[in-house]
Amino acid sequence: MHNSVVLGLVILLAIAFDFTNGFHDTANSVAPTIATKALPPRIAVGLSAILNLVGAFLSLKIAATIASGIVDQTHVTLAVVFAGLAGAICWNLTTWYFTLPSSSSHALIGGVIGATIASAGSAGVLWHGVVSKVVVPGVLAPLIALVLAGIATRICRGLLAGTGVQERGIGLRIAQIGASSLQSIAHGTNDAQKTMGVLTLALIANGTIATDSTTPSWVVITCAVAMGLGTFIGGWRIIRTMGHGFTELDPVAGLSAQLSSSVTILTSSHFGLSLSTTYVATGSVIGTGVATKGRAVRWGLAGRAGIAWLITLPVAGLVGALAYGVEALLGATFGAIVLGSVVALYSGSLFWLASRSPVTSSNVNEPWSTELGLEQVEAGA
Amino acid sequence: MIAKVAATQAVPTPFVDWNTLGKVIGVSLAAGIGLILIVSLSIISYDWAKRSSSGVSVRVAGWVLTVVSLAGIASALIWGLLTILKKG
Repeated sequence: MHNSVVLGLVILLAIAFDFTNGFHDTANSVAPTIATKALPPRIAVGLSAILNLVGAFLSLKIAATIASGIVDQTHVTLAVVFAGLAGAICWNLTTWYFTLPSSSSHALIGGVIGATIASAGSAGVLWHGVVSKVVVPGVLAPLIALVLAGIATRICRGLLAGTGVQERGIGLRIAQIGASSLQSIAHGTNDAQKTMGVLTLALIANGTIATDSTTPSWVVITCAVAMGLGTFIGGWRIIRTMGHGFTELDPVAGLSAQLSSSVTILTSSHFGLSLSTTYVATGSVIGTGVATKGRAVRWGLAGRAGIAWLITLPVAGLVGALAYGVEALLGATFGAIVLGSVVALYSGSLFWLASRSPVTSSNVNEPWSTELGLEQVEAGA
Repeated sequence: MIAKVAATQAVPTPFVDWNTLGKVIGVSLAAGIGLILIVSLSIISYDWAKRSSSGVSVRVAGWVLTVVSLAGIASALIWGLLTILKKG
């Protein structure tokens, strides 16, 4: 079925999702580096953007799938992809506005599940896959990272206690930059390829390219650039939460968090298990706080993040289902135009609201008690 | 025959792949702790190598250990990059 208007809007939405994925997930790799001043904020984010871009081009074995093993791929139409992307973007921007880290991949999966249920009923969802690929890893990822980061912090703090300040500072700084760089490359390779897969799938579903076609170069370049740009813009609100909100990070804690995140993510990749980078990074940061005497973890904020994680799938799914319903009601083309406009309007409103209490590279490292963004709620806690 | 069919059907796909999860948890903990030990060792040995109050033998040992531990860190980085490439 050819529908150039819907395809064009799917492409726009996929690029927008890739962009939000970039700036939403920047914090995972750079927040400790920025919070401990291992690198200046702009340099850290710029380096991460370049490495995300490099990562996106590192390997191009792109699978033209979306939520593979989680929804029955025969039900994945252009309309389902469109609705799923709408749900994911809305959730990504909402959590960004509320300064909460949450998984972009889970948001996309949630959106697609919702749209699939609206399109084909719950039989279109492979619930076994939802539990084994999303729910169980989603619960375990932060716990594994929390324990590992806690142990790493204790070991590192104990061993480095007697070393010279200057030598320790240089070593920790270099190690932090290395761990952060590795995470950025991994993110670029992993997440940019997901969007490349979504776009390839959309082009196949529309009949624009043949089923056995390779991903067009323009798709690869566009996705890589969108992810890199999103990372470069920097999701400062979430960087601040990750770097200062959950707990205050010193260089030892920063290194422990980043090493734990890198090792957990790469080990799970090695064994073919996909863990959410966001959940791992958050668990690591909280783990360093738990393991450090006298350094409080702001459990109220951690609880809010936990609630956001719990409702990611249902809320993105609900938006995805509603979006599919609108498309079904208004027709594919008109429905997609209306939905695209609604998503653009909603996104614009959140950016406008966020601009009233901006978090930027210049104030990202201010003490947490300072009222920036929405954290005045936490400041009193 | 019936028993054979029943036996085949009685092996369901595991709902959660505990085997892989166990490997991820075990290897993550071992590799993470190993890596933090190596990084700490590199910083400690660099400190020995740079400390002017140390004797010559301690400083030489410090440099040797720094190089060895840095090689360990480099190996970990290469493994990480290879894992990223393999997955991609």
